[in-house]
Amino acid sequence: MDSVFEELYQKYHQDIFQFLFYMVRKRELAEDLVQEVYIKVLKSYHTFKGKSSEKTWLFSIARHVAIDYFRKQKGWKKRLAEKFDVTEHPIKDKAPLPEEIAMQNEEIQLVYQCLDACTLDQRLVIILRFIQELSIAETAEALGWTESKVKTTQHRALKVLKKEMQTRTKREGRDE
Amino acid sequence: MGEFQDKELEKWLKSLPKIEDHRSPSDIYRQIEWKMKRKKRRSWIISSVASVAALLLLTFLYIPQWLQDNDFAGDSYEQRQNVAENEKNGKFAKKSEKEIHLYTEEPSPGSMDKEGTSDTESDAGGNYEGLYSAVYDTDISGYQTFIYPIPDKEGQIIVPVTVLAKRESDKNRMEQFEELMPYLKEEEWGLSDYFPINGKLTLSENDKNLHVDLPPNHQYGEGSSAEHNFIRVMHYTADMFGAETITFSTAGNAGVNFGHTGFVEKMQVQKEASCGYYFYYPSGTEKKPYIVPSGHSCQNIREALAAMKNNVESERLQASIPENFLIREVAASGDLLIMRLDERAAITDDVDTIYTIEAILLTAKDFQFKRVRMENANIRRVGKFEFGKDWPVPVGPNLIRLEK
Repeated sequence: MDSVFEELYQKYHQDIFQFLFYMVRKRELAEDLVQEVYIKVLKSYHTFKGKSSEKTWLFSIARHVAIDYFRKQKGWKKRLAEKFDVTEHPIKDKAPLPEEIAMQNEEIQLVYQCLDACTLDQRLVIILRFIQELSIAETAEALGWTESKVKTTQHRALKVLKKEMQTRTKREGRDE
Repeated sequence: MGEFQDKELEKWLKSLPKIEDHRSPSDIYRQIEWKMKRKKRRSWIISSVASVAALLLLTFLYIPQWLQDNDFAGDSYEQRQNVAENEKNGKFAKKSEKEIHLYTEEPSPGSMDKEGTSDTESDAGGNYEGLYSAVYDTDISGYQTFIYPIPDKEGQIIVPVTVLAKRESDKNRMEQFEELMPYLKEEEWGLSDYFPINGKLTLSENDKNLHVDLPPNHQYGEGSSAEHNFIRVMHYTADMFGAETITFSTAGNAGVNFGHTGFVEKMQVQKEASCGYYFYYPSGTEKKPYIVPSGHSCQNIREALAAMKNNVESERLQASIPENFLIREVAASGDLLIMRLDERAAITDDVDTIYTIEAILLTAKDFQFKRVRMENANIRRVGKFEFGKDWPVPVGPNLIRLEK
């Protein structure tokens, strides 16, 4: 096994996998994407200059891989589906919760589901800040943003999450 | 559950469970190795196929030319020349043989069949009213256009956005340009909140100079990216107004201090480098892309068209010409760019193809072409773009209608 891979695996594999899982919300897909991250890393490891930390560098690559995936998803088939008004949300709502989430309490399940309402940028910030527990500075480095952009996006993301949680809670209250 | 508090929400977010990959590292590594080998092999196969295709193409291209040069195909050449004369009132008959050949070649039997069978639906072309991205001469009677160069949120690229404004005879263009700035909703459009400019712009049309007066505490020197973007925005603006120089002052005193560039009083306007237009999706989820120049330079339009098939990863720009949009030949005739599509090019009448065509038109404009003609498509038209006809290049990219 390649020594670079071995070292990176030991230090960061589960973090990167978890980041990708919360971005794409499918275990099998996260497994594929984490491999893409390694392929990119192994090809460009010699160019890593140590300007940022190894960890934030890996997150920045994982972020690109995730964004690329979402862009590829916007293929013609999807657009065709959109024309026929098959909106994404109902499909997502019906998707079963991953086992790890289904075992959690009601609030945590709700938070997980409401992450859907965030934009890609907002989701990136929420995952890095609260799930990966990166500092504002580390998040800014991983995303190539300014710290103030991280703060603003985080603020907006929390606002969106709160609103979505309230809407869903009210809706479920009415449905009962 | 009632109102949610930030602290409570943060606590729940932090309690989301750890998700682990249960595969063994050796399994993962095996799959990575396999994928890497497959990618290498695929690129080897593609390059081999491309070489063979190129050889075949050369054969097809040069044998008829050789036959023509040797007068073996005299009749068909004359016939073609006549068609050219009929089509363009003799204008192109004066051009070189190669150009005439390019214009007038009869569609191959294969493509005739294709046209015949696809008939009515592709003849009409889809109705994409309101979906076009660029602005054309026909859209602007009674209006004038202003192009605002707006940096994206990461400050990496400049997105030119075109705004239409009613002509007002009592105001000059610069006054109108500045007046509209507060109405731009850059953040809503997924870009950075950049306008109005924190300063005063004055255009001297006689001297072809744009004067920029900044306050002493301006923010454009804070960091090299802010400074770089400000200078780009000013060059872009000056160029749009036909200025050739930019002069600076700080609170009325000549010159401005930039952290990186230092003290500057005057600059020669430099046109933005151009190597084609690409698609930019600010959050990656939008349906309609911005069509944006790359900011790199290219030698010629052929190079740009080839580059537009690839993403520009460093600037998060997406390829604007899909793989199956195969361009066989590109030729210039004065201010007309002629593109001959490959027989295998699978052009579809959909909004994505509209954006591809618009990206090509904007690129042609950057290379000083005024019209573009595409020949030999498998369908008759895509929206308002009818193949075989001359399409004028747009007046500006990324039209946004302002609510004043």
